[in-house]
Amino acid sequence: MRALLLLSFTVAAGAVAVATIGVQAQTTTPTDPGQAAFQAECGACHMPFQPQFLPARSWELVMANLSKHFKENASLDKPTTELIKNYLVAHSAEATGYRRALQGLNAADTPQRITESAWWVSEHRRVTDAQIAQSNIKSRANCVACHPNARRAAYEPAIVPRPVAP
Amino acid sequence: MRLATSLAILGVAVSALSALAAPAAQQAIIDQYAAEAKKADPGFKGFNADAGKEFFFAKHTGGTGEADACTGCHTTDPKKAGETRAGQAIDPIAVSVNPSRYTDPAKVEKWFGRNCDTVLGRECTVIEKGNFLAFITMQ
Repeated sequence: MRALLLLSFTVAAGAVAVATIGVQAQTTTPTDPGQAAFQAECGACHMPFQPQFLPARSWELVMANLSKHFKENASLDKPTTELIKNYLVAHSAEATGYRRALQGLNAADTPQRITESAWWVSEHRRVTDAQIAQSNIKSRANCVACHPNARRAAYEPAIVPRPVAP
Repeated sequence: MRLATSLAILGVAVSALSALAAPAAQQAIIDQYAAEAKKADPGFKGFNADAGKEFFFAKHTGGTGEADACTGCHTTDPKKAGETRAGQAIDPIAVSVNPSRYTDPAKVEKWFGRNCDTVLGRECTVIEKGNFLAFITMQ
């Protein structure tokens, strides 16, 4: 009984977290080839950020400049680039109605860093640069360091881990 | 008795040979680069694992990324997991602990293309690629 209660609480908490962030969860075994390629290729270097976090034009810009991807060359062959771009555009902020990611943006604004979005900055206003620099966090792009369920689009709980020796 | 001795000698010879060669799938990729090197330079004598090791540990210039060495992300121990700039773990690159490494030629080319540009600001030569593979496939 206790286990069942705990389980239902966990499921409910998960549902609330997903509802709060309002983005679609990514399953671990995608059937959509675009999603599979996105998770395998983008996920080789960083958590595959939910495409809802940027407008379609941002994803088009990111995917057109993979050879200069935040100071690194992340080039892919043409068919894979196209496949992933189409997936990202089809699940962008506009496509999914995730209006939060569009707030404060002019039509010409094409942000490339999710972490510079007004909503992201506001949500993380209490996080210090020193915390980001911790060896077990390292980067603002390392969502899972503080949000263990971020891959499933569940951003609760949000806990800054204790610093560890590097 | 003589047969047994011959077999024993043969066995030692085979294991000595296999200790010098990379596993088959990896060796096929090295052979491909060797053919390319030979085509460009008929005097090409083979890749040099020591030079590959030096290349892996060297500090390079001209790169666009924050790392100026392979070890920036892959650490100084190829048998250990590395970490990207975004804090994501990278599976070990040493074949002894990760036998699936360097078995897909397209994947090998993809990562040389990306990482050479990021760390050196240019493509790697076929000699650099072959030397590195000669080193890392024996790790």
